[in-house]
Amino acid sequence: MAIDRRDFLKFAVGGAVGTMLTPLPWVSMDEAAKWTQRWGPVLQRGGTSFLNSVCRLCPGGCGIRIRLIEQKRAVKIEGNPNHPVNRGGLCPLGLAGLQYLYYEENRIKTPLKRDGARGFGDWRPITWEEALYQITVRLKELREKDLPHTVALVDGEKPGSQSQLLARFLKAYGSPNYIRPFQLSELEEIVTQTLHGVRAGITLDLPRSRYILSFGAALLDGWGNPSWVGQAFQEWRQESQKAKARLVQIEPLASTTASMADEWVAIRPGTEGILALGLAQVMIEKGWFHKELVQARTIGLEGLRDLLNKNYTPDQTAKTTEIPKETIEKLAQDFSSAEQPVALWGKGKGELPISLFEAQAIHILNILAGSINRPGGVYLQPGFPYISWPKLSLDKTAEKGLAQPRLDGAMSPKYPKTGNLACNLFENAARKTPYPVNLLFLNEVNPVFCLGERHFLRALEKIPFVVCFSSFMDETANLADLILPVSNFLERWDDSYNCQGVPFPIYGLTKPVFPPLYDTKSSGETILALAKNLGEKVEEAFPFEKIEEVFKQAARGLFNSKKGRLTDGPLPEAGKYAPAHFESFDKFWEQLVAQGTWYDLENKSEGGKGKWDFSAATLQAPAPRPQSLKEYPLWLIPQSLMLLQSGYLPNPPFLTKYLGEEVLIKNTLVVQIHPETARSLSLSEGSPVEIQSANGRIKALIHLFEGARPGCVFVPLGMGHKAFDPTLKDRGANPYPILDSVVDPQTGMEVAWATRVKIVKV
Amino acid sequence: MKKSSGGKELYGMVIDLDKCIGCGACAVACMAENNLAFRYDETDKLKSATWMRLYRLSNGQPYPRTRVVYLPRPCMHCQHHTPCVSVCPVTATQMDEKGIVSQIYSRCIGCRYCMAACPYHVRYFNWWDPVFPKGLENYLNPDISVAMRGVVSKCTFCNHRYQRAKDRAYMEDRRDLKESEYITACTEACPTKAIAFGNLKDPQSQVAKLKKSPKAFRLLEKLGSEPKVYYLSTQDWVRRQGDNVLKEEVARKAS
Repeated sequence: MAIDRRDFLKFAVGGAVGTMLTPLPWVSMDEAAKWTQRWGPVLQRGGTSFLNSVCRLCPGGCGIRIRLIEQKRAVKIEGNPNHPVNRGGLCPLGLAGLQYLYYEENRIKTPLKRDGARGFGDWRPITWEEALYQITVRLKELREKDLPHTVALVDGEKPGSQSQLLARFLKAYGSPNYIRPFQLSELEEIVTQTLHGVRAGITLDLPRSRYILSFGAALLDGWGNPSWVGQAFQEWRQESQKAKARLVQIEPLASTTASMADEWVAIRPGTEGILALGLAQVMIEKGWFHKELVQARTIGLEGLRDLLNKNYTPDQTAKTTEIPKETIEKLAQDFSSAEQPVALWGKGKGELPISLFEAQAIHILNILAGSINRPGGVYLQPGFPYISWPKLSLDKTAEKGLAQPRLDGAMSPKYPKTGNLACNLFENAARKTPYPVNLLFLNEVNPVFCLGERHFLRALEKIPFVVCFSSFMDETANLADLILPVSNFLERWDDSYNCQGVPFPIYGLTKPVFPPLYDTKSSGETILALAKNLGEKVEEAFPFEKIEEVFKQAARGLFNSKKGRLTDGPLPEAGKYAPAHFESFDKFWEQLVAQGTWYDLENKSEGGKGKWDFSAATLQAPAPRPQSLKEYPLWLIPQSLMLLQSGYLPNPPFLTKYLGEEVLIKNTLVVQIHPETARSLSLSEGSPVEIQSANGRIKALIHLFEGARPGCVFVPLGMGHKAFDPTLKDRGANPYPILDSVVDPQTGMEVAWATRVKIVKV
Repeated sequence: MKKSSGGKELYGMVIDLDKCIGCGACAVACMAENNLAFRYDETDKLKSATWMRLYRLSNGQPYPRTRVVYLPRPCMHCQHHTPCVSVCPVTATQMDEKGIVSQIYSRCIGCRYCMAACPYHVRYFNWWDPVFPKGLENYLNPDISVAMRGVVSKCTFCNHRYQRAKDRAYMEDRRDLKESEYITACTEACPTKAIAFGNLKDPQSQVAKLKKSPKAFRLLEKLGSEPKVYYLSTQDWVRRQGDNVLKEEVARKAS
């Protein structure tokens, strides 16, 4: 067929018209326009205001300012420049705090009830009334059966009125099982009770310290209160100081702290306590200790001397710790001759227990150097004594329940000084000894991720009903029967008693910046509602109409003390501090709500009435679990990082973004190892490996680092979640489950740190 | 090339590496202030937009003499022949009178000449649309527009905070800003006060004093681009890495 001119034109015109009738040109033009002119989200504008509050993400209690647009949209968290602890600075976690508030994918929005089997994630949204009704029915039934003691609560809430409310609820209800997961303060109290005869927290006057001997604490990587340590570090590096401060880090890795320190002492892992006693031996033998104070306040020095001379001479210590004898003698001399020295402990961020032996051994150095209750040293702080609660009257059922032994065995004849043993709770619940758990409350804890997964999973089979207070659908919440969503710290009333590790009393009040974004309540509000439902004596124990009144009661205590001042102006210069005066309580409350923080720089510390007894210290290092060195030739050492959360809180995306290539590559965890050790195992940079311990195995990639101690492998703590958003879920590996733990015979705590492992190439 | 006119202000930064503990507060504050997004996997650092980036330097010495130091790296805001400004074909980036090198997204055509020209890798190309997972668009700062796909973005010394401070000063009937009235988000956040920020032309300012310190150095000083970000370190090996001297060059100098 011949195509003439006319046919061709018809075909061309027809084709063109046809194309115009299809969506093709319009869609492609639209796509092209979008590709060239894509704009970001349009931001809602409006007036800016700042609101003062207190950060509740860690027990640090830093002062924050929240920047608000039109008073309803929070756009930034900044440090409060008037706060005595963080002085305008803030740690990265606090700065990323809004990601906990607004990241919808991570938050639980309404109460949820489990449908189907545990852990399968079939959740049915229910109302608060129904959720509270379900709990109330169970609580009432257990009380009627005289079984109130079979209710247990594990409370991860930081110290404050809310945790007091929870503890009080359990008491009024009739259960002795109010249990807190491990915190460094727990061990501090045992140390002070044994050595000083008084239960107190150990707080450090770090900014004024002039010689800081840190036994493996990740001081600059999140130990204690990062802002407080940051302030101190800045002071130490101030050139105008008369005496330049000296930071000495004892650790097996060239970590941030070891690198920034003036001196890094590379030690054999796990021998920190022995080194401390080695130093004590030199100090006593050469008479390099604070003789006045030791003579006036202590007993048992002779006994200590004999024991140290027997087991901890420089030669013996050098052999165990693999630190040269000369270094040990020099450290002892430097420490004892320094002005305002302090020794501190708590490995990593202090998230895992260390043995009482180690803590005491290091604390003895503070006593010998005369650093107790002295500027630049250790202040013993007995709790937060300003707040009084109404008297609690118990009914018969509660009295009977409280007479039962605690499930975790804490404060028992075996472990009289230990306040909480969360791991034991789960183990005993699994064995149903001394009695089973019928109802378990979990408040802001994630035992499945942290140490205790094995125990918790076993216990879960034996516990008929688990209620989880949480903001996030984490690994633990996923296994619960009922989830009560907790309001974020920017949506609730809350407070903090003292700032962790800070040697003067501070009270921080957190107020709701706006009403909760979702159908959530604070755990305190839930407890008040439950108490009301239970009625009678339990209800009477909580004479508060609204949750604010709990915090008003705390504020009244502060007002009545006639001490302290608020963060309403710049910090007073040294020596110019004076308490503020308020006309009436209402004025005080109004100002406290506006400013957020009350503090009292006139420090009162506790020294106890009696003598400090050296002979009460345990000077026998706990025996490590016997293991074949042949099978597991390496040490695994968990490593804490500032940019990686390893507890209940998931790591916010802003922090995960900054993890270096020595922590995470794609979805695989990176571990650090010395090039020599790697060579001996025929591993090279980036080799994929499996790290195996007696308890399990994790996958990782190898990173060669000269600063890693040969024979050790350093594993970051905090990745390897099986829950949360895609920045965290199934990324990296969690070393907690493969850590070896030994029960410390003195405290009953499970001490876990360096663990024998082998590395297998995969 | 526009030379800075003889104004009274020239902003610069001094970062004390002896005080920096690599905590990342500056970086997080920067992202929160400047509406930076994140992706689910950010481990490829070449594609990770981090206006304030933390470098981990090592002295490479054998155990136990190994040390690491952290080096936070914002934009250097080069004063002389600003490399990025001199190559931009569409004047999307310019240095203003107070010494801040800007980036105007709506002018940027995404050619990335500036990225090739920048010796400090401070510029980032948005290969993707910035994604704010559901809910997170709520915390966006209205003072800063979100950089869209296909443009280059960089640290601006929080220029909007300068505007805010200036507005406040005008309201109080003042022309000049007081010291530390305008500081960047990273300076404000630093818990160890390792970052100082201020007017280099004011001889009384902290930065003007600190930059004269014998331990001060700048990155790649030999290029002559006159960065306005100074670093302080007492350690020789850190300062040497700052100038990035090649091994052969050291040998040549010595001979």
